[in-house]
Amino acid sequence: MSKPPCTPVLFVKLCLAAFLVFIAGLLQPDCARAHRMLMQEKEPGVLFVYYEGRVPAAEAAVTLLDEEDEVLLQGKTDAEGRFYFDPRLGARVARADDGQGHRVVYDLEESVLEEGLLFIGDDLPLGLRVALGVGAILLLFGALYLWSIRGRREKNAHT
Amino acid sequence: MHIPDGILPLPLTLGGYAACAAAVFFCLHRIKKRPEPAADIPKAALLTSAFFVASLIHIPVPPASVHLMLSGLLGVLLGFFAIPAILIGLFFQAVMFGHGGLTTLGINGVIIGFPAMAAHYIFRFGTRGKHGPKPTATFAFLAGALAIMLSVLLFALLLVTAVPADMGAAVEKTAMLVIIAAHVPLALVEGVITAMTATFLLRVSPRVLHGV
Repeated sequence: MSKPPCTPVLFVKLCLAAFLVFIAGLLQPDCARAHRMLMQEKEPGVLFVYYEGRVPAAEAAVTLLDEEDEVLLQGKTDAEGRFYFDPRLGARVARADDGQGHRVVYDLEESVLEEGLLFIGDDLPLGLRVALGVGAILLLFGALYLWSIRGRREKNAHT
Repeated sequence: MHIPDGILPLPLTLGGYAACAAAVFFCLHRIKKRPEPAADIPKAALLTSAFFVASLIHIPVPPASVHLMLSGLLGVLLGFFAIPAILIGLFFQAVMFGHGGLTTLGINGVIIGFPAMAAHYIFRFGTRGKHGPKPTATFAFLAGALAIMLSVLLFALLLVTAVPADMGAAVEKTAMLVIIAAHVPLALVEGVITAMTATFLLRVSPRVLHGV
């Protein structure tokens, strides 16, 4: 029987080292930015469309819809990512699209974003979400590794 | 380069899942045929974690902004593990960061995973029988850079043909050209990262690099 190429102890050490590197990287706030598109109603009649890290989304197409999803107003954000509209229009939903695959839908009545399925949300700090994600990935692969070498040992024992 | 939930038509999302399922089945079949199928699992775990976190590393390329993907690196180092690893990474990116989505997991897997496999084949065939530092660096660079460009071309093609945008056709075309141009520097950066990693591994552990 050939020797396993990587023992579980070595695996844990490697995981720990990689995890520390990721955390160190995230301590630099400028690097910890991505570009999920977001929207916020700064004040009645003023929408702010931006990417994570509060980078304004300039020239993004904004559409205001009523309760029947009828288009009330269409336009574009300015260089600061702002879109101005008449609050008396009775818009229920605002949708923004930058044409590059980023789109956001904002409920103007509830002042909340419509998020993707199962998205854990922005309530948890980014660092914690990174740690949870990396932990879950390592756990998943760790379980797969142990299950795989155990199955192989049992197979070898039978033969 | 992640397509979020709610913008793709249902048949396309289902098609993405079907294509990814077929690719994962093929990859797992090839992995199972190896003498040591579990040998690359620790490496896959580390690189999946790196892929997961890489989407947070933002590179400003005015007027757009792009983020690292590392798909070419995963293709070169993981081979047939790359597509399953990328799908797992994409799942956690959607859940933890809201990048991409669960309904679009399959199509995002196609956009990022298939070019990663292309990177694997570019590197493998390019360095077949030539394991020196020069061919390793050259083909690793090509694999890393071309994976990004293939992904961005697939992404742009999909957006133009299948996604109704809230803007005019001319504006959307300009937006597509901007996004393709913005990814050229990223392709170069990823090519350099892949080449540096490959040459480093060639020095310290050639088996990890060429043992896939």
